[in-house]
Amino acid sequence: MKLRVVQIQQNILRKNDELAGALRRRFADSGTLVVNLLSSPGSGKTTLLEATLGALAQSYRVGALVGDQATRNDADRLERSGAPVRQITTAAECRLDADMVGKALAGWDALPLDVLFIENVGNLICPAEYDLGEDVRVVLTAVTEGEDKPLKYPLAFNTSHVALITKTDLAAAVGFDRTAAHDAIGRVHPGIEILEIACRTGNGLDAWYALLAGRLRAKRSVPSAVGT
Amino acid sequence: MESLFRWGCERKCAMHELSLALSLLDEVGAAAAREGATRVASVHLRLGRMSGVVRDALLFAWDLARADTIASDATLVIDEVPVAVWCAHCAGERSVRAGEGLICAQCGAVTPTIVRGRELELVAMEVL
Repeated sequence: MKLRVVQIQQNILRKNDELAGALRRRFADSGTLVVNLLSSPGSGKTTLLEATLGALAQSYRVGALVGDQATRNDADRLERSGAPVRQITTAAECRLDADMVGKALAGWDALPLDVLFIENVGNLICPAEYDLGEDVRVVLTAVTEGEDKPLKYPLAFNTSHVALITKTDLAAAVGFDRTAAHDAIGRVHPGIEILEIACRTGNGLDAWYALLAGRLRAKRSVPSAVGT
Repeated sequence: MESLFRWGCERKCAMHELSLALSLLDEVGAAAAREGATRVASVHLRLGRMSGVVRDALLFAWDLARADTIASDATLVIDEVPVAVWCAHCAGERSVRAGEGLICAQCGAVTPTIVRGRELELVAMEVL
């Protein structure tokens, strides 16, 4: 028996990409805006969602999937907003993938939603590689993390549609250099929409809610363009 | 599988690579079946430097994950692909300097269009 060489051209994330494509078609049919939140641990994803679910629930059907390696503390926090929440406990996995999202949606009586938030596992490396069928990928970086996260994790910022600089109420206390932070984001994704927010004071949140409402309107006004 | 995940957990950083090694083995198994192969001797992977995957961790995970598969003694050969961007200013493919953002190494323009460096591609196998 002789060895022979087989040429292949196969992305090993193919299955995830196919499942994400199916999710995207499903959310196009239901007119659901899907928002994937990415950040390091502790940048304020859950705090942002607590505020956002509470505020948007007055006008929209909103819900959230929350990924964590362990505990359902984040889901418990978010459920206090009154919005439907499902926890995805990933055990050892450092990111959500489209299969986990699809399974978490199964049998969920909250569907269909106007806006579905997916809080990814706190990590800026692996989640950037996994399409979850989202319309909007949002990356958060807190002023307490310094200004250079985009340079250390360029792909997360490069593949996101919106960057949120969070905890801006602490900016002075930690000597945050706003210009340097905007410059670092611009170096990996020029032109990306950047919002500065502080959930504790509410600063900047109205602009965030307006952005989401605008994205939802845009998705519903051009159904044929969705998912392309 | 559970024990593999527990192992990954204890090792902390290799989890991502272990899950990718398992995905890679799925693709290898499918391709081997299509080819009617009885054994896989080597697997060739193109791995982008911006794929978020640590080469050595992937090799380590591969050694564990391949057990009891058609590729149980297959060598994983990794061809690392440097990051390349399209620089509109130079009108060409250019490299970037690590840690400085997506900045054209030649002219210094911001060049956010990544054309290479995200690969996670099974490109070839040697089979019997």
